[in-house]
This record gives sequence, C-alpha cells and structure tokens, in this order.
Amino acid sequence: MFRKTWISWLQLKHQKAQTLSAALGITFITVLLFMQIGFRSSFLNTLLDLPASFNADVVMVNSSAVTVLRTPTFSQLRLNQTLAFEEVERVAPVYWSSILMRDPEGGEKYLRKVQAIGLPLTWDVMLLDAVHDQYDKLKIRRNVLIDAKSKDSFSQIINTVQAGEDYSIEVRSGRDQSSIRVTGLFEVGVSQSANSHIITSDATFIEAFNRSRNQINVGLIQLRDGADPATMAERMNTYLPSDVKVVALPDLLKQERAFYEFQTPIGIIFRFGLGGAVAVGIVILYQILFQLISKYIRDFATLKAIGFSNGQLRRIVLGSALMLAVLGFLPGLGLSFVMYDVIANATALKFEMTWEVSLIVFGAIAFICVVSALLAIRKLNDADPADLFG
Amino acid sequence: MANDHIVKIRGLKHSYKEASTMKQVLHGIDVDVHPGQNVFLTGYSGSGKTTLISLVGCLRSVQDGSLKLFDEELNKASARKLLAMRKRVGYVFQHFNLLDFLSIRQNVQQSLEIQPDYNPREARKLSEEMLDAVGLGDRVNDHPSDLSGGQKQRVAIARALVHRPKLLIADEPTAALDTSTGRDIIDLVQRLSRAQNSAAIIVTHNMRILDSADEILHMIDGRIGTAITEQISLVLPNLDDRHLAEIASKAIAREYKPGDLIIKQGDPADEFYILTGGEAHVFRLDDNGNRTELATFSKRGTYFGEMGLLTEHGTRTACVEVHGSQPTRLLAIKGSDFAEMIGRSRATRAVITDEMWSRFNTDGTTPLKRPSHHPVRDE
Repeated sequence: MFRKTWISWLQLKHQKAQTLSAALGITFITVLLFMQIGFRSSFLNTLLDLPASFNADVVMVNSSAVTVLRTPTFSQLRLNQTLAFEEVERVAPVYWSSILMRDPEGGEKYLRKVQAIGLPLTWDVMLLDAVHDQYDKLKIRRNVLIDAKSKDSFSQIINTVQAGEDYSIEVRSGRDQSSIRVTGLFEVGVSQSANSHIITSDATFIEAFNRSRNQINVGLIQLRDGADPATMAERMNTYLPSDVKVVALPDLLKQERAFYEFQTPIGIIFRFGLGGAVAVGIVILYQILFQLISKYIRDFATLKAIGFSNGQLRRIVLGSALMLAVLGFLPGLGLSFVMYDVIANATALKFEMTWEVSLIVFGAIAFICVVSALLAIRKLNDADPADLFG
Repeated sequence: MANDHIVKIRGLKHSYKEASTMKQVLHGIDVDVHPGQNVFLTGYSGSGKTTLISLVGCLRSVQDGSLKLFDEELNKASARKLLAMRKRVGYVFQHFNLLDFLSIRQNVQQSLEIQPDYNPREARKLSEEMLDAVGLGDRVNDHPSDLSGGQKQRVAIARALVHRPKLLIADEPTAALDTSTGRDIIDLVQRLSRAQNSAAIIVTHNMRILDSADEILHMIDGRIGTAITEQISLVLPNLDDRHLAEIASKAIAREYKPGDLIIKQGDPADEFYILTGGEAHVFRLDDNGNRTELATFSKRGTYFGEMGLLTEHGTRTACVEVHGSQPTRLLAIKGSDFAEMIGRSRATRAVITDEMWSRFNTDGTTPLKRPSHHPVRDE
C-alpha cells in the first residue's frame, strides 16, 4: 500500500500508552479551540446577523457611529438626498432601539435587551426569514413580530403566537410606556446585545417608541443594476454633509466585524484565549514529541548510520506529529459537536459546527503539531551514529 | 588498479577536543583492505579502533591524512558525500540496534529504502531472501523482541548486507553472544560477505574467532601494531594468556621483499616462523641442485621452520622464499623460546609435532629429535 515503511505510524503504534496520552492532550486542545472559536464565531455572527440582513447595496449611518447597532440617529432628509443620484433605485429608513418588555411571567419585572426594529413596509427591506410575508399583519398599528429564537424567558409569548393567538404586552423605551400586540414570528437569534428582537412597521415604531421621521438609525440604499457600491458610497460621501456617512454593505460588515473583534474587550479576550490555547497546545505536544524522540534516539542514530538523511528523520518526526494531530482532532471534533449542541440549547446562542470552523481548528491543531515538531526536532541532533560504535 | 582497494588509508590522524586541548587518538594510520578480504581489528579499549572504524564508516569527518573508500577521497568530503557513502556500507553493531517497532523484514528493508533505485516489491523480495539466507526466512513478520540475541544479530547482518555493500563494518558482533553463537555469527558474516565479494572490517576482542581473519590489525595507542599475540594464539591455541603474552614479547616481526630467501636449506635451524602476511614458497634442492617444489603457504597463521628445530641434526631441510609480488610478513621466534613454548604445553607440542609428521611423511626422510627433554608444566 505504501512505497516505504511508515516509520512514523509504527513508532506511534509501538508506544500505545504514550500515543494515547498524546492524542488525549490534542483532543483537549481541540475542544478548547472549538470552544474558543465557537464562542468567537457565535459572538461575531450573531452581532452581524442583523446588518447582514440589510437588503441594500450601500448603507447610511450617522457619521459619529462606531457600530451600526448602536448608531445615533440622523434625519431621513439626508437619506432622501441620495435620490438625487440617478444610480439610486430606492431608499428605506430603518429605526431601532433597545427596549424593555414586561415579563410575561408577571410581576413588576421587565425583560431587558429587546431590540425593536421599525421598517417601511414598501419592499423587503431586511432579508429576515418570514418577515416580508407578514407585512399585512404589520400594517395594523401596534402589531409586531417576535424572534422565535429569543431566550427562554420569552417562550410564553412565542408559544402563544405559535398556537395562533396574539399576545399583548407592555413595553418601555426610555420613559415612554406603551402596549404592543405580538402577532407573528421571524428568526434571527440572540446575540451579546439582544435577548430578543421585535419587528414592526415604521409607523408603529414612531408611535410606540416616541420617534420622529428625523430620527432614523440606518438608511438603506438600493442601487440600479451596474452601479458600483463602493464608488457610489464615495460619491455620496463627497456630495452629502459630514453629519452622515455612506458605506458599501460589504465594507460595513467588515468594519463591524473588525470593531467587535479588535476594539471591544470581549473580542480581545477571545483572541487571547485562542492564542493561549495554541500556546498550551504547543507546549504539551512539544513535551510529548521531545520524549518520543528521546526514547527513540538510538533508533534515529541507527537510521542515520545506515544512510538516512537529517531531512528524512525530520519527516518522520513531522509525520508523527501530524498523525497525532489527526488522532487527537477526530475525537475532539466529535466531542465538540456534542458540546456545541449542549451550549446552543442552553444559551440560545448560535453555535454551529461548520466545515469552515472545523477546518480552522484542524489548521490550528496542525500548526501546533508542526511548530511543536520543529522545536522537538532539535533533539535529533543528539542522535550521533558514531556513538553506536564502541 | 584503481578499484583494487576497498579501503586505502595513508597517514590518517585524528584528534578530539578535550577541555581546551586536542587529544590525538590516531597517529598516522596506514591500512589497505581489498575486495573480499576479512580484516579483524583488535586492540585495547581506547586504542583508537572505534575512531578508525567510524572514520572508515563515514560517521565522522576525516581531519588529516588520506582515507579512500571505494577509491573516493573522504578527506574534505562534504556531509552530503559522507551520507551517500554510508549508503554503500553495511554496519553491524555490538548491540544489534534493531528497531523494535518494525518487523524484522522491515528492519532489513530500511537499508534498501534509502537507495536511489529503491523498488518496494523488489526490496521486499530481497529482504526476505536475505533473511532466508541467515536462517530466519520463516520469521519475517516477527519483531526483534521475539528473537534471541543470536537471531537478532543475524537480522542485523541481513540488514547490513541486503543492499550488497562492498564493505561491511562490524563492531564487536559477538560481544553480546555466547561462544558458539558468536562463532556462528562470524561464519555467517564471512560466508555472506565473501559470497558478495564484500570486504569486512570486524572489530573484536574474541581471540577464538581470529583464525578466520585474512588479516589481523592490532591497534596500540592510535597506531597499527603487529598483532603478535593474536597471531601466535591462532597457531598455538592451547597456550594460556600469560604464556602467550610472554612468547609474544619475544617474537620479532619481519618483512621480506619479493625474491628474498627466508630460509636456506642446510643452514643451522635457529628460528620458528609464523606467516602473518603475503605468501611463502617451500622447495628442496638435491645434491645436483635440482629443485623440488614442496608447498606454497598463503594462509595467515601457517607456521614453518619447526622441522629443523625438532630434528636430530638441527639444520634446515628445505628452502623457503617469498612468493608472488607482495612482501611476506613473518613473526620469528628464537629456537630456545620455541623449545620453551612447546615444552610448556603438551597440547601445543602435539599440534606442532603432528603437523611436522604430516609434512615429514609427505616430503622428507629426516629423523625426529624428540622434544621430551623440556619439562611439561601445563595440562
């Protein structure tokens, strides 16, 4: 089957206990990485879910906004000014606000971090599952849709709506208090900044949360076919006053991701966690490989004596390292599948085992193994074939 | 001829760094090893044997002098060249050095997997054939841990010879084995290496196997000396170590050029000779000067000169001359020392007397002088 004897594998197979402990060490690192990357991906993806659903080519926000989810308001007038460009097909103002919702379980308590979104019901402004199909419901004042993937504390509302009944509940925005009627469901999923979402018409939003048309949060701009979003954003920024800025949607998503990843404490903690897991992995595997080489140092010297080159011996050690990577990664992947499921159910965060994440983790494990092997390979210098004589 | 030498060493010196000084361990070594030749290297610990074979085996770099292996100079050879040369040598180690995690076939096959013309199917076949040749053909899938010491060394020999190297280097191949197994191993090494016309350099302290050497090199303090003790021990295996050392101290190494006459018929017999190198031819002249060819000695360890010493009239009964184009090397032992030597061991005396009778019956008429006046102290 193989052209040459698979020394790396046979060495590992011969040292079963050592190989098992090495594989378990790598499994541990694999799970650690999956958790770190899973949390990070969940954190970033859930935060980006809403902006990623904008059905727009370019987006307008207040120029002082650092993130689209916490943007100060600006006048709809600015958004309408973009219609002066003949490349603009249509525009839509989007409102949002973090509100409180009375706890369905009763008492005086309110559920926190509910993201309320107001849309014009003219076209499918946000590409969220089932929203556009329920525009008719939203045309009735005070009607809202609620996120079916909200946290468990919203389950009474969701269950009622799923059963086909409306659910009226009190909400507060700032000092204003009003009542809304939940009439349908859509899906986004919770994030670090929202335990639930509700979507309503712009008219209801303005009425229930005391907003005016001059206080929009995001302006969505669709361009005609053939118009380049980046060029248009640049032209609009030149044309419009500096109180607003226009960004192409892909650039906006990149900026959002970079902001949360590099400028928020939680993003920095994740990166440190990831780096720590990799460093711990390198140290553990280095120790294991170093011991393995030390154990076989006389064999390596013998192979050198009979004509194996240093490169061939290095390939044997690297081969062992990569085999350990696979042996440790596979159970780690299985374990992480289970843990993702448990965490997703427990937290309602989006923990999805994707090919992309699996490949990233395997790449990190392979990196750990290769770096550890390269460090441990220096021990091969101790394998002096001349020592075999005498 | 350029390819007449497997190993040709001239003026080889080597030093190791010891603290801030350099300690010289080889002092101008000259050695020749020819195709098919079995050279045994003896010497005390620290005499430089290991350094010499590690240099010949391309495991160290040559510092000073000339070392030609397969007619290629190793002085100033690059690491890449040394590596390439190592693939053309076979190694047998004292402690076998088999890889426990490989089957014995896989162990043997390692020597083939590094060859440029490696072919997996052919390598497997050759490995199994070589294991068959060392008597382990039915155990190719066993692991070294399943084998005895002698069997492990057989595997090591198979690994050393499977790629048909022109030189085999064996370091104390019998040291970890019992006497009988050690003898078998040496026989095996010689049989297989000679079948392949490979030269072999075998480091050993085992006097009992020296008789199978084509040449014995004895190292003393980094120099090649005459292996007097070893040569005498071959001829007189029944002498104990003390007597052997005593006689060895009295033996004189001599070298005769081609054409030289070593013994002249009719001269007084005053020395006993042991052949250590080259060839010697024996002939007899009759009263009319006609020459009768009697024998040619080429086997190292062959002795002569005993007839004149043991017969009544004490004169040489034949002539002995250098044979061939190579010098003849001898160990000469004075007649009085010879008499003492055979007087000390009845077995030694018996061996030499038997040999003399054999020669006497073949070619001579000279009556024997019994050596019974010498006291016998051993047995």
